[in-house]
Amino acid sequence: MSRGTSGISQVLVLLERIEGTLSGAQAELLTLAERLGDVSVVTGASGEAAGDALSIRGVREVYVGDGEITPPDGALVDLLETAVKESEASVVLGVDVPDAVDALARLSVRLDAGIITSATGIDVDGTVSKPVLVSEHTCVARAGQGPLIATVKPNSVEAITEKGARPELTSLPVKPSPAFEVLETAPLPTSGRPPLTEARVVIAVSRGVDGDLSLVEQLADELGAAIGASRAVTDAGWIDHSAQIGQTGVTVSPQLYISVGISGAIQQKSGMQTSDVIVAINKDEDAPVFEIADYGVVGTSTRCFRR
Amino acid sequence: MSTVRDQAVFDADEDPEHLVLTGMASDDGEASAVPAQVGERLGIPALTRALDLALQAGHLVVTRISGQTSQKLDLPLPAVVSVTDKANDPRYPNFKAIMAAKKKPVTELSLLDVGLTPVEARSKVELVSIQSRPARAVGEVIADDGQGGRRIVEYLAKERLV
Repeated sequence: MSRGTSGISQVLVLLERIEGTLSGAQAELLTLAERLGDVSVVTGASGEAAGDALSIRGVREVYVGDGEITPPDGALVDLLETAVKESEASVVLGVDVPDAVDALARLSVRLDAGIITSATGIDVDGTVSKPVLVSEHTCVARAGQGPLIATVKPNSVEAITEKGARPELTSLPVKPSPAFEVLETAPLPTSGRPPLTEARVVIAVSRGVDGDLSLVEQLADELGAAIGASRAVTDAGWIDHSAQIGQTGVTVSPQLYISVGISGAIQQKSGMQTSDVIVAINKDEDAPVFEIADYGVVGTSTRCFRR
Repeated sequence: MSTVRDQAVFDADEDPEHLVLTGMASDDGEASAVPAQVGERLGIPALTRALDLALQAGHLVVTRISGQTSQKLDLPLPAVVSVTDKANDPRYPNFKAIMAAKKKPVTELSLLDVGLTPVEARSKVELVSIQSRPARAVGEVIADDGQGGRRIVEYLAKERLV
């Protein structure tokens, strides 16, 4: 990893949006960044929102635009690029979500650098670990040229952030300039449960629930869990598309994953097999999910939950 | 580990109506970085992970999720759009269409054709090592004898997970 004159890496963290307080994944990212060097943050959020949320020990400086810049506005990349120059960052990190991947991918082209997505760990020596090939392998890589640009998966480190002084705020001369017109925006349905990718406990359901999620919701609330689902369930519209776990949905890596009636085909498995503990319920004793489950029950979910 | 070195295959100024359509992610790296990188090289916007996509008189209407928000955006061409598997229902070709597709011209481009040297096409990320994840040990599987729910709770308590 290239180092600044001080001998300590300059780490720039992209928080593309800040909604009130930091999300769990954002706090994790700052915790990781602080282990790697001097931390500054660049965000599309307003200076006021950024200053409030980022009054955190270790955050030295915050770069904002001239007005709020909301993804997928390309101005976010201009802001990011300007902040990289200002901060002389040798490490640029984001949370592993599509909007951050997009902005950092464009940045990598501008800086003639590579990008490593879905990292689960970054070492002070600049090496990055990430799961590949439906999480069957772990690879370690580093930047070959240019700064290290990486996105980090939620639940990779434990977030430890301490309240601190308000960071120094630098407004960069980059204005919002969306190439598109916003026709409609709607908040995703909220459940009051933790976000799926950040939850410590995830309960995933299959078609077998037949549209009735009430038992699962009750269990989720008791365990403080998020609810995920197989493709069949999101296709049926019983739960929002954003809850789909698997190769074409989100990947989760919670401490506890409870799989309810999902067979565990490879596309599904790839979205959850790095969970710490997997508990599976399935009525088919040959379901592939039992090959990776720490504890399995051959039976029907309704009967298990009622008790 | 994406390191794209796509050369502009069209000139955005000369082909104002162009749409570059891509899938969501590769099966191996699953980075989803290429669509945005292609957009950057072409100097045009890229909207990724479309859940729905419609083309209306040189304009695209794209529905996608951004953070905790669903957004419907109207975007003039040219543009790059990547789609999720929700964007449509696949239309599978019949035998006649498969045979017809075999006659479609395929143009192969070499690095030289797109003005690249092998050095320029090299990955900008260095692979240090790769190893198989240790296989997950097969855990205990019990038949539900009516006590399945309770057995799960006991297991979770033993593992200090609840």
